[in-house]
Amino acid sequence: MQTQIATIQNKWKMRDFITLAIFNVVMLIIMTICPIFTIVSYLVVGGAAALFNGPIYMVMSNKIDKRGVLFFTCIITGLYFVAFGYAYYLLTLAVIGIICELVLWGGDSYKSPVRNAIGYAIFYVGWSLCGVVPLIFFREQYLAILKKGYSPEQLETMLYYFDTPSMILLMCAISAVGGLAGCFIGNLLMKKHVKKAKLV
Amino acid sequence: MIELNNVTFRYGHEDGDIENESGVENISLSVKAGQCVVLCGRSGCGKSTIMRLVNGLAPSFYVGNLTGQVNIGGRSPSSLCPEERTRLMGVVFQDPRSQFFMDNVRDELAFSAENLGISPDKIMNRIEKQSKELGISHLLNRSLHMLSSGQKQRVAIAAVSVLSPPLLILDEPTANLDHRSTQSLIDILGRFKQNGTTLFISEHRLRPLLPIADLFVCMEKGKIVRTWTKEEFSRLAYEDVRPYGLRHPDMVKSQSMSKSAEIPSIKPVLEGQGLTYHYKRNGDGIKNLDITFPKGSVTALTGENGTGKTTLCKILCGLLRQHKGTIFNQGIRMSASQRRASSYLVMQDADYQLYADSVGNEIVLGRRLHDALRLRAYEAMAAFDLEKLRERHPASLSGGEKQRVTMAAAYCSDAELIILDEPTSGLDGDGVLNVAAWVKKLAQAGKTVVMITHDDILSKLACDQVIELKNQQKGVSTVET
Amino acid sequence: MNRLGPKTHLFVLILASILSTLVSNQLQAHLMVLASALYMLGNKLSKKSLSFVLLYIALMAILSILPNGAGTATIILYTFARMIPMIMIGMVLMHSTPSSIMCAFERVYVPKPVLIMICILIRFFPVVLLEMKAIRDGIRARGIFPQWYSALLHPAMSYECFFMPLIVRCLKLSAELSSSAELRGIECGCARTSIHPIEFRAADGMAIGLYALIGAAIYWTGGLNL
Repeated sequence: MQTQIATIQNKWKMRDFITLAIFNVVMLIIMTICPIFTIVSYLVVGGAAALFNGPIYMVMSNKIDKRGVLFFTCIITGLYFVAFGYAYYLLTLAVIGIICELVLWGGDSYKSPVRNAIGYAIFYVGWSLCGVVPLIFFREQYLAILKKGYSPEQLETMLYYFDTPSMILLMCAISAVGGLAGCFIGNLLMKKHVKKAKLV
Repeated sequence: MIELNNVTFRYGHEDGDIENESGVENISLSVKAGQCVVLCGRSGCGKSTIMRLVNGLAPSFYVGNLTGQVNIGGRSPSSLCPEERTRLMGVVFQDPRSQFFMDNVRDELAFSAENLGISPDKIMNRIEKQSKELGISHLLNRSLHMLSSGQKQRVAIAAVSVLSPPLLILDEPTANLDHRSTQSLIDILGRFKQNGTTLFISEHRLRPLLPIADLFVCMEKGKIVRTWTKEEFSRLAYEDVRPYGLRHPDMVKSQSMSKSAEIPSIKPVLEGQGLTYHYKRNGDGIKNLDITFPKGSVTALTGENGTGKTTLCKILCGLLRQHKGTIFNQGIRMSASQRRASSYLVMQDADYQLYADSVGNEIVLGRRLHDALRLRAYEAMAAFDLEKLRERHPASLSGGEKQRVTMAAAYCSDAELIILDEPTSGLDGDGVLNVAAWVKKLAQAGKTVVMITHDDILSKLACDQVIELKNQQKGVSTVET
Repeated sequence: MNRLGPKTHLFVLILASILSTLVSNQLQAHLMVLASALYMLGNKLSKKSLSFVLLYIALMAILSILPNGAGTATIILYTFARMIPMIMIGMVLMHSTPSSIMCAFERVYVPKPVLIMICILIRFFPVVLLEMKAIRDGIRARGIFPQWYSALLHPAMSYECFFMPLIVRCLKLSAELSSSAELRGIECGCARTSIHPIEFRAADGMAIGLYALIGAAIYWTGGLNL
């Protein structure tokens, strides 16, 4: 039963799964709180979530230090949004997760702050793109669905964010910066606290 | 049942040693089936390492270097497969909060058995039987969040004993319990013993365990220094156990400090009038409580779990807003935020209150560093014996040390009211004496100290007044001595 | 003890997700909330069901008050309101015991580690929230930020004060939980059993059928152009 997972480089033990789950709970809670930042602008939500979750992710990645950390995180996040009725999040995030793992391919990358930061930033760019992806691939169907759900004015505002390339780019850039900054802060916290206390 | 043969264990990771967990050396210990053995000694003496060796978590989970032989029921714990290990022993950790997997009691009890693939009917039978035995039948359908700490402890024991393992390992089972829960826990353990279960317990509060224990094993610095049989132990005087840092009821007499010498000045006081607070969830709380704390005094708040001790303290330090009543400081009414600014609550779990990267910074956290403060910080570190730990990270300290850091921070702060929640849970005899001394230091520095405690020794050692909270019908009265 | 199985909840959740993409007018959305509320009632979560309905009504009230040009705020609130039926059924799923979830999904060959992760996700959501609250209380109890705005004046410090204990607690929780799990036989190779009935029974089939029927009815009202 555990063979599929065991074959992925180093063997995942039960405690790794438990650590992963607990840290993901924290990240999901923060992710759920972050839409409050819509008060500032819709564009910064992803960046804010990335910024706050950075330290959590860094500690988790350093603690588990096995291939698949980021991929599983993506999947869990995706599953969480499925429960809210956003099934396509899971698909997008699964693809993103694979890309992230490719970035982190190779020895010891889960302890390297730079590569972690890159992988993590990609994850959050992907997360903010989740609203955009269906517009690119299933434009007609998705618009049809949206048209049923939202009034024309609402749709227009939404498309302003999700369908204007400059806006998408801006959003991605904010998320990426948030992710990098989050990991940077996370790394500082790691050095200052976690490593000093010998917790990892 | 348990055979330790010249066992030495050193913690270690690939990236160097962990200095704060030093391991054990040359341990030889033999426990026969059906015996009850109690491990005692100062905090950090290696008790938990032995527990980990016996339950097999060291060296499989806690990495380290093991020499010598560990035999449990004739086999090495690392050679046992998970099924066998689960059937052989039940392990209860110190903090019941973090060992529950399910959210209701029945499921929690079923968890181990379900993992082993036992048929549901059989599991149900065992749960019925075990819960009757432990007196928790009425809790079976409750949610684990709603239980008191005594109930949680009993559920934890029930959960590991559903498979009736021949060996039970308990890590400080009475640390967070009041007198009554401790007593009922001991009764339960006695019944296990009668049924032939081997008990292996690590504990600081030794006296309550006398009725069930056969052997007391005392450790120091990773070595076994003394073993006493039950009879020998019950005859020990305080002078005999003092060198090992154990607790003893006579601690109070030998330490008859100059308590009555300086009666705190009565005038400036903190007082609460008609305090009322009810939790919406279950209607618990306090009602119409009048209470007075003289400035510079030490007060112990006692009473059974669930009588509103914590609620009262949260109100006093402004974490909760009382529903009715007022709090005066020297006759001036105080709002919740004023109280928050002028008080300091040392929580039972120090983890929630340590934020800085070193002990030194922790003590002065949140304030602009100037010479006067620096002096005071040094004074606090000297008073609480923290100079050696100054550069260490608070999270890497042991429980007792963490508590010391928070108390030093309280000493150094401007707070006038300092509240301690169960300051001696999980502390050894030395720890209790030290807390008593520190509390007095705080009081001498002019702070009003309130302690929530179940520890008679502590309240006798350090307190000027003892206030007992009692549950009356939907209300609480105070009894002062 | 006539509780429905977790598989049923999941199935209904999927149905609701599909339905929500098909729904086109306000009335249908209202009806969906009603259907989900009924589903919750059927699963003995009457209080939660009521509070969700009230939340939905409140959201609708706010949306009707907000001017049309409120832009993104409207969209967020509106999206949230649209999610409520799914959240409600998700709640039911979360309220079914982790034990039965584990067993139900093990039967359909979901690997055990994944199951345990799902259970911990569900079980530790409230625990982590409590931890966060305890940390907030701890900060306030130390009197570091006496006024509510003090934390905003020192963002870096408040960030550190919040995340440091949180990380330490999480590390501790995960270490203790996994050692406890190991000792309680979670790594056993054999198939788990469950004390909860997990077979797919007539009641489950009926619940799904009923929900599908109601869903179809709701979809049909859309065609009436009310």
